Amino acid sequence: MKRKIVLLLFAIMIAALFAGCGRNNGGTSEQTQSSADKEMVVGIPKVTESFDFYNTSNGFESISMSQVYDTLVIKDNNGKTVPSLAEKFEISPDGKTYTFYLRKGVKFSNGVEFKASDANYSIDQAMASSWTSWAYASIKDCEVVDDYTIKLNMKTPNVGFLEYLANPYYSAMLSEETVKKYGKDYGKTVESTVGTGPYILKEWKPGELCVYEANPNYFKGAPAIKKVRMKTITDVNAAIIALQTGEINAYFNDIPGINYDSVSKAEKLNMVTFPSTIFFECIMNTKTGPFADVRLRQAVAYAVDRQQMLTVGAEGHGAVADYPGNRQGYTEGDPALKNTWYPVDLEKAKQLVKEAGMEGKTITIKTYATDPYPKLATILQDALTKIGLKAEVQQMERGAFIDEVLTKGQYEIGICRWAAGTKDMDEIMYGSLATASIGSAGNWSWYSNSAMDELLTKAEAETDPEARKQLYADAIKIYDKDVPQIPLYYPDGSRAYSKDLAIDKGNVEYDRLFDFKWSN
Amino acid sequence: MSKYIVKRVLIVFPTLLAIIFIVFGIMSLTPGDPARMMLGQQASPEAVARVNHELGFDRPFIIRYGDYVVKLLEGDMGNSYRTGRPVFNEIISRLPTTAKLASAAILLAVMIGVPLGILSAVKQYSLYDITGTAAAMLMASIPGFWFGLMAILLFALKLGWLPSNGSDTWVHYILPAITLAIPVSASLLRLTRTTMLETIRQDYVRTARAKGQTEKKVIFHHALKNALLPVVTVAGLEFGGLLGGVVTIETVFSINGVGTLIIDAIRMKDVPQVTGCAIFLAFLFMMVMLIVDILYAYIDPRIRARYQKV
Repeated sequence: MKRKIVLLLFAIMIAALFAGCGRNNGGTSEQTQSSADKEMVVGIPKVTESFDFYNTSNGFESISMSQVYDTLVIKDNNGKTVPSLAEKFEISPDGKTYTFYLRKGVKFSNGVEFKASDANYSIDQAMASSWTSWAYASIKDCEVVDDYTIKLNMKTPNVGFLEYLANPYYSAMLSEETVKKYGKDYGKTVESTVGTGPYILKEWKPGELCVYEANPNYFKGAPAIKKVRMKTITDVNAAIIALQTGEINAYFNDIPGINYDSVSKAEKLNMVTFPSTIFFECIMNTKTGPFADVRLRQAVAYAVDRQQMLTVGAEGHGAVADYPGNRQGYTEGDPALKNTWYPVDLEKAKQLVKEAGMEGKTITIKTYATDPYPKLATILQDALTKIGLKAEVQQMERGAFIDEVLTKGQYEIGICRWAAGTKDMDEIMYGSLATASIGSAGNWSWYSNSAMDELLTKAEAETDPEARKQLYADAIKIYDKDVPQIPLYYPDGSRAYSKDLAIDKGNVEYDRLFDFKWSN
Repeated sequence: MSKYIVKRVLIVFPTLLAIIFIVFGIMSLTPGDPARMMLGQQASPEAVARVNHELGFDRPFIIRYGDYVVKLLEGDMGNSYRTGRPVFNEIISRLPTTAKLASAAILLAVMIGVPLGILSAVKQYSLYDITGTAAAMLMASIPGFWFGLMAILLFALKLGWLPSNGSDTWVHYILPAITLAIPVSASLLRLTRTTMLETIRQDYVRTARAKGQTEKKVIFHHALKNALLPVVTVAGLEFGGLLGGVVTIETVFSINGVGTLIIDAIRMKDVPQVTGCAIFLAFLFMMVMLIVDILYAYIDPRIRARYQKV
């Protein structure tokens, strides 16, 4: 009897164990459904923990948030900034006032019309947010002209600013009424998440999963794909397998260079590459320590083989960089100069090390402990050894590196990367080289040169594209002479998606579900 | 017996206090601050200082520690720095996934390891025994993430029988549970074999045999209960460990369990979340061990008798 009870209890335990997970996810892409209502399954490294755009950390998370929101302007398939929620915009001749004329009749998913007060409120939120306020540093204020017009007033003209308005990360348009109604709970539930975007959030497990349904009243027309499931797949190898098995239709993250071959040759997959906004650089402390001497920095410039860095760091998929923003001609304001950087010349490098009196001295290279940084640091170590220095590599945990190196400048030489939010020269040139950007703002070399500052400030405000390019070309000359960093490379960005999906290749990099449709 | 249980439960509190102190200490002494991790590299120092202040991270360590303990006594584990949601809710939302995975893995491991261990012991030095122990050695030394990846390549990619990632249905648990169960079953096999070998050489087993009991009865009725004692302890320990989340397996199979929650929290320096997880898991682990001890008493009448005298 006793034995039977024990057996029974055991059986109940096992049954209970799996009771909760018996539901069908109904979501694999292999289902035999009519093409119109077939569900698209997308993997991203991290689904968001909150839909409150301006009060949450968002890296990859913003991809899951941005599908339900819109911006005033947007990037088109040629990389140009074009109107979106604003049907047109004007920039005053002095570059200090931006006027946006909003589309009439655009509705939020709760049926309320999107008006100038909402746009004004959203920009106020972004300007006050600890996450995004830095992008609005040149903005004085925002004002409502009438129900369908807003004006942005700048402290100083900033040509690149429009780029921030095209990126939902910095400028998603929220519903003032909804944000005020839910207060701190805004964007914490499906009900409290309201946007004008192409999709409406239907189900959400924070950090794990989002289920979207097409917004039938979307102002650009209802999206072609009616239902989308977006889930967290952190490990890129797991995502590549899921793409190949058909469990996901697309992965919104870069495919590592080492997998390019297998993914691009996979029978069921398409792969598209594009120049990314990620810039790998070798930073040097120009303020104190051995690299305060420009001769030593120039010696490193002669010693580092950037092609080797690209080969090892990104399997050769990308382009060697001559200066920040040298993104294969894809950056606004880029003068597209060629071969401006130092050639590899170990003899000259050795001579400069000797002149700086650093022969045989020990240098510490600090970098992140994650791939590809340790590999890049080893190449740098080898280069420094070849020119008569001794070098040690110190790999650091991310938090420690950001704190010690990027925030406090406690380092000699390091390797890191800049992941730009915009594709404008101003962000990366001013951000990484201006005196005002020293430290955490992005000038991690603690570099300061008044001539450089002057050129960068002028270029920021210059509305004539050609004159602006010339200013940057002049700044690059100073960059080459002063060597505040060693520009390494821009790796390619890449996306893989199943062949039953179609998308304009120029749109792939933006990870917008609205741009996809079923190909059959 | 009840006195013993009460004693065991009371020990939980000082242990938890020590755990909070250690975890808090490590999180505070390591460089970096949560606001910088959350806001990103380009955020202004003012914004970083403001957020650190809002989170209370700018106060001295000892004050934050004291504050945390007081709140914990009131039943509040605080809110996650990262998500702003209560730490307890975050753990509870992830726990079912991890608990299902851990339970399935431990059940599988016991179902494979123990019977094979018994068989190995009973048929010592047979071909079966030699291959069994050799296979166990091999399985115990294969890294879990590698086995997981190979299993995915074979069963998900080549054969298409099982899903490669996620935790939506019970089918999704098959591959990760097997991956976790294999090394545990290998160690259970070896342990069961050893203890079983010791037990069947005991006098009372010999006596049972001498009295003409069938071999089946000797093994399953007389020897097994005693031989299983250490196995129960080890299985309990392994289960407790699995409840802590298995980061590599959760990553390989894209399962959002407790393991990935802790790793994310550590990366973002989310002190309340890391501490909350540590406390919760330590508590769970201690409870599992308590249950194991009570099971001991159930299996072994000698132990039960000892407690009854107390």
